[in-house]
Order: sequence, then structure tokens, then C-alpha cells
Amino acid sequence: MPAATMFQPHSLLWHYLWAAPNVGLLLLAVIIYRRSQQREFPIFLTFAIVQGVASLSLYGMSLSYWHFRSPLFSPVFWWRADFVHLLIEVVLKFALIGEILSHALKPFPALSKSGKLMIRVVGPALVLTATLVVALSRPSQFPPIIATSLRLDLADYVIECGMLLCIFLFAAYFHLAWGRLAFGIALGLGIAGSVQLGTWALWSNLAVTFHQRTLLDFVNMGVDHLSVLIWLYYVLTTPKATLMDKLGMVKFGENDDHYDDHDSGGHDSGGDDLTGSDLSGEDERQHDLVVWNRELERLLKR
Amino acid sequence: MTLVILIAAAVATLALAAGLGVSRALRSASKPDLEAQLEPIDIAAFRNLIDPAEDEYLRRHLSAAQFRVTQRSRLRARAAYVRVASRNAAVLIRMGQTALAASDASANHHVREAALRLVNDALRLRRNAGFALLRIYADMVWPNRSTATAGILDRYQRVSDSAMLLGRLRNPGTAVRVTAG
Repeated sequence: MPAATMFQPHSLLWHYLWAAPNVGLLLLAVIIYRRSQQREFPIFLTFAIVQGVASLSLYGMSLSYWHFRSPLFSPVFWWRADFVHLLIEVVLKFALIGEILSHALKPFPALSKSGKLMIRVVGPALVLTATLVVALSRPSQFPPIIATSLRLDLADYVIECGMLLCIFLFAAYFHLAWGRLAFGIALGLGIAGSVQLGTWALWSNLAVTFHQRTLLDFVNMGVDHLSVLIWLYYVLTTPKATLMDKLGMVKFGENDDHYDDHDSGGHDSGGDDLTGSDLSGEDERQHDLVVWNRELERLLKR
Repeated sequence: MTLVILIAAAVATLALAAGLGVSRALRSASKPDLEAQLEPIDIAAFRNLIDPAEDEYLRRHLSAAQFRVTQRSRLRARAAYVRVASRNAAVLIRMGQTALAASDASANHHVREAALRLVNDALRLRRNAGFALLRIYADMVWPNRSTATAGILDRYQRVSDSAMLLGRLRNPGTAVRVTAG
């Protein structure tokens, strides 16, 4: 979203970079829905729809003011709408980061406690850091509503990048194999977030000229476009949900709680010995159901 | 100063995201011999090194200065063992995940269960090894303090059993060895 170059005459590239990623997000939402991936990533679907619709509405307001001088959409109204959009975007982004983390840790119950602990420690620390960063940024030359939006953006990217950095480090340290789509979402969010943190940092701490602001806007819009393309690539190359997934069937062993994180030190209770012959009656029934379901799926494919 | 920190954080996030993407692409393109990356640990020697009775014996028979020097050397050796255990855990996590992915296709639930168990045990070992290393480094500053690292050894033996079970299920002819001696 171009922040400070609103209501200025712009090139075709500027219009493209504002509109295309948001059209891409709506397209992404349709593809996610058609591929039944919304069951696994409901927040990502919501994020794509809300972000796409809200940003296109803001774009429409800007066009309407610029071309038709519509009295409905004054610059003050536009900035207020943008601020509300920012607040919603921040909430959705943090929910999306939570969704990514839960997907990354879902197959590994041994790490669920450590993951939660990491969020509990890192989250408040990042909020404090963001507050400090905003407090230390140079006074804005813009009116209060614009200055507040810019500060909120800066704080948002500090927390977002910090969280993603922690998740990436956590996954790298433990050599976790992420799900394809969860990784793609994190990658897009990470690339866009880190570049935008850099541009907002420059913006908030240096005296940038109008020309430089325009360039930073282009960088932000370009990286937004890149992240949408990354998401599209990962959504399109992740295998479609099977009938079994659509019916809500969990693959055998996936929701096993034999591996609960019951130890805090180096010793185990040792009661979770599992070999193939130790299957409980419940597991056997689940297995029969899965086999039955697979046969049903094969029958439907014929 | 704030600007430098923010730019550094942004570059770190970008580099890590790109690095993970590249390593993921490279990993799926090549099939490395994970078992060759395992470095067997001499369990008896490690057990001897972390034995509190040994620490006590040295404390009683050496002067305070000599004990600190000896204990620091022992702690360095202990740290080296824990680092190897941690590296092996990382390799075993990858082996378990590879087996999990393969068992998805073959629907072999015995292999899947064994792989899940190995991955979760190895994850706990890697996590605990990280904390143990921190404690050992703290002990190096204050060698009179003795930290218990026996938990790592127990955990390592448990992971070793899990690796053996998975290895036998997947390839009965070849054993996965993470211990020596």
C-alpha cells in the first residue's frame, strides 16, 4: 500500500503494483477454496479475502477522488479508512503467524510446549521492542492521522519480522520439515515483512524526500506483489486435499498423543513404548475406517 | 542506532527466509546419505565423564586450583560429547522425517509409528542438548558447581533404540548405529 504518495498523479506501473497484488489475493482465495485448502488454512483464506477487498476499496477511493473529485472520499476519510484497515491487517497477520506455527509444530508433539513457551517469551518482548522503536523514531512531518498510520506500520513490521525470525530459527535449529503450503505462506510473509521493515525503518529514521518516498513506495508495492506470486506458486503446487481430508479423516497415527511432552528434564516416564503390535482397539478401529475410506475414494475416482 | 538494528533484523529475516527456501529446494533435489553423517558416541566414556562420583573423587584428591583446571578440561570434553549428540539428533530428525514421508506413500503404519517415535525422541534430545550445553558453559565459568547431564545420556540411549527399531523395520539387513564401544 503506498503510504505517503497518495493522491498524486502516478504512472501505469504504480497503478498496476497497487491493484494487481490485491486482485492476485482474491484469485488466491478462490484457488484455495476450490482446492479445499481452506480447512487447513482458514486464517490465510480470510487474510487473502480481507486484504484483497480492503486494499482494492482503498484504491477505488483514491481513484474516485483523483479522477472524479468525489466529495465522499476526502483525503482525511481515506486515511481513516486506511488506519482501520491497518488495524484489521495487524490482527489477521498475527493470527496467520499463529496458524503457520501451529502447522509447523503439529506433527511434532515433543515441541509443542517449547513452541508455546517461545511465543510467550518472544511475543511480549517484541511488543516492548516495537514500542521502543516507535518512541525512538524521528518526529513525523505528516498530520497526526498519517503519522499514526506510519508508526503502526513500523510497529507491525517489527513484531511480524521478530516472530517470523524466531519461527525460522526454531525450525532451522530442529531441522523441521514444514508442510509445503505452511512454508510457502511463511516465506512470502517473511520476504515481504523483512523488506517492508527495512523501508519503514528508513522512512521513520531519515529525512526522506518526496522522490525517495515514491521509490520506497515502489519497493513496498513490488515486494507485496512478489509475496502474492510466491503464495500463488505454493498454493498451486501443493497437492489438492483428498476426499479423506475433505471428510475430516485424520491419517493414521497423525493425531497420536503417545508422544505428549510429559518430560521437562532428561528423564522419561518410559511408558510410551510403541511397536506395531501395541495398537489399541481404538487405533485398530481408526485404521479399519481409514482403509474403508481409501477404498471408497478409489471407487469414486473410477 | 535504531535504524542499524532494524535494517540488521530485516536483512537477517530475509536471509533466513531465503536460505530456508534454498535449502529446502536443494534437499528435495538430492538424497543425501544421512546414516553416513551419524557420528557414533562412546557411551561408556561419556558415562564416565559425567559421573558425579568421579567429580567428587577429583575434588577430594586435587588442590582447588588443580581441580578447576581439570574440571574445565572435563567440561570441554563433556561439551564435545553433547555437541555430537545434538548433531546426531539433527540427523535422526531428518531420517525420521524422511521415513515418515515415505511411509505416507506405502501406508506402512509400523514404519510410520517408529518414525514418529524417533522424530519426537530426537527432537527432545536436541532441545535438551541445547540447554545442557548452556549449563556446561556456565559451569566452565564456575567449575566447582556440578551440573547433572546424565539426562542427555538416558535420552541418547532412548533415541538410539528408536533409531535401531526404525532401521530394522525399514531395512532389516542394515543397522543404524549411533553408539560405539
